[in-house]
This record gives sequence, C-alpha cells and structure tokens, in this order.
Amino acid sequence: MRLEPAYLVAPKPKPPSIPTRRALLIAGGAMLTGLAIGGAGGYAVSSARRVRERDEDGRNASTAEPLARAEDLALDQLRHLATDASIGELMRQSILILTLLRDTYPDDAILWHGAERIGAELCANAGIDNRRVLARWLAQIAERSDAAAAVPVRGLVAELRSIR
Amino acid sequence: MQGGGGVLTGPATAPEGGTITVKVGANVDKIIVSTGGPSKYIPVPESGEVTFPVPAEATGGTVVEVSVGEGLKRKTILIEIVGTSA
Repeated sequence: MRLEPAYLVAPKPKPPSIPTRRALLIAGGAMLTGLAIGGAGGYAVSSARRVRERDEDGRNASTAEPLARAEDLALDQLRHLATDASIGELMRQSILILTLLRDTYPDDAILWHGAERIGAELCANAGIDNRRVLARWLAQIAERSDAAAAVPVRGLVAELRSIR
Repeated sequence: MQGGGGVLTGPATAPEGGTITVKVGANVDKIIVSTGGPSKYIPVPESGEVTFPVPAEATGGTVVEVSVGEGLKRKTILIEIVGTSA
C-alpha cells in the first residue's frame, strides 16, 4: 500500500489589524487638531473684528481689551455701563459712575468715555431730571481733573455750564 | 431734602459760607465730601447727623458732592451752593 502525501493548504494569514486602527487613531487625532486650530483661529479673527468695529464706531480704542479683565468687579461693571449700556441706563447710573470716576478711578479712559456720553446727553436732552446740577457737577469734575482722558469732556464744559 | 437710597439725606441747596447738615443711616462711620477734586473725609458722630462748613472754594453755583459707602454701594447727593451776594 502506498501512502500519498497530503498537502493541507493553510489559510492565508490575515494582515494584522493594528495598522488600520492606528490609521484611524491618527486620522481622528489630525481631525481634532484641525478643529482646535481652526476654532482658535476663528475666535481670534472674530475678536479682532469686534475690536475693529468698536473703533470704527468711534468708541475708545482701549475699550476692548480692558473689558475682559475682571480683577476689579466694580470697575468692570462700571466700564460695561460706560460703553455698552443704553443711554437711559447710563443716565440712571450717572451719579454712581461720576462719583467713582472722580474718587476711585480718576485716570480710567473708559469711564471718561462714559462721562463724555453723559455730558453729550445732558447737553442734548432738556428733559433729564436735575439736569442743571448734574451738568455743573460734571463740569467741575472735568475741570479739576488732570487726566488726559478727560480732554473730550473738558471740551463740553462751556456748554454744560450754560445749561439753565 | 434729598435722599441717597435712604442711607444719606441732605438739603438740595446750601448758602455760600454756611453749613450743610446731612443725616446718614446706621453703620456709616464717615461721609465723603468733594467739589470735584480730591475727597475730604468727615467722621460721623453717634447721632448719625453731620454738620460741616461749606467748602471755602464752593462759591455760588458750585455743586458739592456728599457720599457714603464704598464701590457700587456708594450713595451720593449733590448740593448746590447758593451765592449770598445780591
């Protein structure tokens, strides 16, 4: 009896799956990195545009950066009132803003910008309560300040003093 | 009389060269007075009523600021000085 050799065909070995998994991980990582860089870039562009728009609106160029600071919450709130509040809200808080501008933050350019808005409204709107006294007080504060940021308000002093 | 949030009350006007009397609420230990420049601090007696002279530089038409409190809780009244010359 003759024995014939039997050849068994081994299944073709599967390529290891690790490279595919690694490729997926790499692709995922690259996508996340791209999203992060794109998001940060977009935020920066958006912030820069916001600052530029503020400047183009004629607001004080120094407003955008300091508004983000919060180490002095009272100052932060007053600055928001000075720049972002409606003129009605600003006038309701005008005595507080002007008191703290004179006494606590005499060199703050953003609060002086708020004072300028208050002064312009006092000159333009005859219906404001206690208008004459408020106008004279603002004139006194501007005249007695040596802050460079007070210059625009000092330009209103003659008109403020003429209010009857 | 005018009031600053119930914590501070005082007159709307005062005579040049005269005095000003304001009344403050409990727990107020000083008032802050200014005519637009630096602040002057005046202690509050136990009665809660403070009388002080009109600042020398406050002639007729000047506004005197009187306030109490700190930060966003600051309360202020504005007192107009009336000239005495005819």
